[in-house]
Amino acid sequence: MAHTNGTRTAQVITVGVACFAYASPSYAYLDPGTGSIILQSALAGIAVAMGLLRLYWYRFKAFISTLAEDSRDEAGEAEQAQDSHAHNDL
Amino acid sequence: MPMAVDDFNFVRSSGLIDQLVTKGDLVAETVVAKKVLGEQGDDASIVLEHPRLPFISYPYEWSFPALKEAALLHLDVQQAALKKNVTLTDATAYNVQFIGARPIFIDSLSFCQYTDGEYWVGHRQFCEQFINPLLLRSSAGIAHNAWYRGALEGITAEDLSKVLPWRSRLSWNILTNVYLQARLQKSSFVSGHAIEKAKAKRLPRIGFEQILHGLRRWISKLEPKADDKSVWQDYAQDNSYAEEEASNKKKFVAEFVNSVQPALLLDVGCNTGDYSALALANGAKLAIGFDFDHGALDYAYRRAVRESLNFLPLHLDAANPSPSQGWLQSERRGLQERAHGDAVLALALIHHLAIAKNIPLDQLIEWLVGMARHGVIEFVPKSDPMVQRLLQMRDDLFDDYDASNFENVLSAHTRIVKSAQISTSGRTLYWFDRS
Repeated sequence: MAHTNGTRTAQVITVGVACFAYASPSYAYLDPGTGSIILQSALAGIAVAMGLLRLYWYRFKAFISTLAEDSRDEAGEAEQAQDSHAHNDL
Repeated sequence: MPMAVDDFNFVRSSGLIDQLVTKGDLVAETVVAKKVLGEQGDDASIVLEHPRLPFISYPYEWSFPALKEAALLHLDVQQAALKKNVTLTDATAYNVQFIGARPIFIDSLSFCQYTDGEYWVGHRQFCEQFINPLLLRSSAGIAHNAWYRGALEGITAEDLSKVLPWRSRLSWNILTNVYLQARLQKSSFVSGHAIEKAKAKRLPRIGFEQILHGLRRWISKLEPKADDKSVWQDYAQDNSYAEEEASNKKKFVAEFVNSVQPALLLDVGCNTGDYSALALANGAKLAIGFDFDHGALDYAYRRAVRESLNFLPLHLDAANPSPSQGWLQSERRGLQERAHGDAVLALALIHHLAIAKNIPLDQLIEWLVGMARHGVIEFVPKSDPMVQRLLQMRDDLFDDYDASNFENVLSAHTRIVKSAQISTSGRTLYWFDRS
């Protein structure tokens, strides 16, 4: 049966691009609802504050992990230096 | 028109489409010559071709975890889009389909250029078509399917706010997205001035991203209400079969599937998906299961994800399948039009319809054999304990419900390839072929 052939492709045609005649794509296509828009405007400040907090938290974590890596690298270098000293001693 | 083509070109040049298609989150597309559409193509600026999906299903047929996965996919797509300065023109659940248990976004024309500061236009639709149906089950213990089927655009915040338990207000997400949104939607509550003021304000990008992030975290933790445990969820494990009987049944089904090698198998009364899994292991390419029990469907879907099965269990009341509905009754096709496979399994099913739902046996058999050319139907006689249980509280009005009548009707429509009694109570499997 044609429609059950999982490997067969290319039959569903989307016409559409020319059919969607909207002047302002976002607002004309769908009514966002006054409830949703007022809610988003009311909560925008909180969302931005939380978004910024999250952003800086990630940056802080990234900074800490960079520090940790640096200290590991330094420790590694120190170890290597010690090894080379040891080699020199030999 | 030009605006749409501009968006089309902008979105394609952003790399978003390739990224989502490669990840498997968006249906693939190829631009083809307009002439493939004949005269219809004359007015089109661009014609796209997509791979054909193996089966179309609707949110009112999905299980709770399937609807949840579809919601998370929508948010993932919107989040990925924002990173490329693209947004979605809507948030309809009908833009998500499933390939096996994996959701896939299908409307590659609903992307458009994002302008910093614009509101999330699809927020209300996302609430009505994803969040609210999920909350109905997770907070009130009511499955979304029947309500959603009767309200194709989903469940409004106002309606939902009337049925959720009072304590749900303690959740910040429910308080804002359901109760507050419902209140603000009422024109009597909000002045025209407030609307103008809100429209003049903007939602900065970081706020938009945070809303999506917060919703994703919240939705990923939603689960059906704890006391919402079904009887049938444990049926596959706790049923009255002896192990030997189950083993006979499995051998019979495995032999059937091995012989037919169906590209699409319909498993009517799939329960937790044991026989769909068996069929997939024996050569079926894709299995679509149907059951009316929400607990069993939840389990079956999670199992399909866990075991990477190409299997999608869907909700079906066989006595009242999804109708053709929506605009001109052709927007969403009825199940009868969609449920055609290469093979059908109807195991431990017909007594529930013939006895519990009073469906005449001959019509029931015609319906099942109409789904596919090949199939296995299990006849469960009156002597079986499960049928006895169904007859416990009612009169036995089913004089024609016996094996010989079943065989006569099945033979009138198909050739019976093989049959085998699999239990001491007289349960019998019939392998039919009507090709």
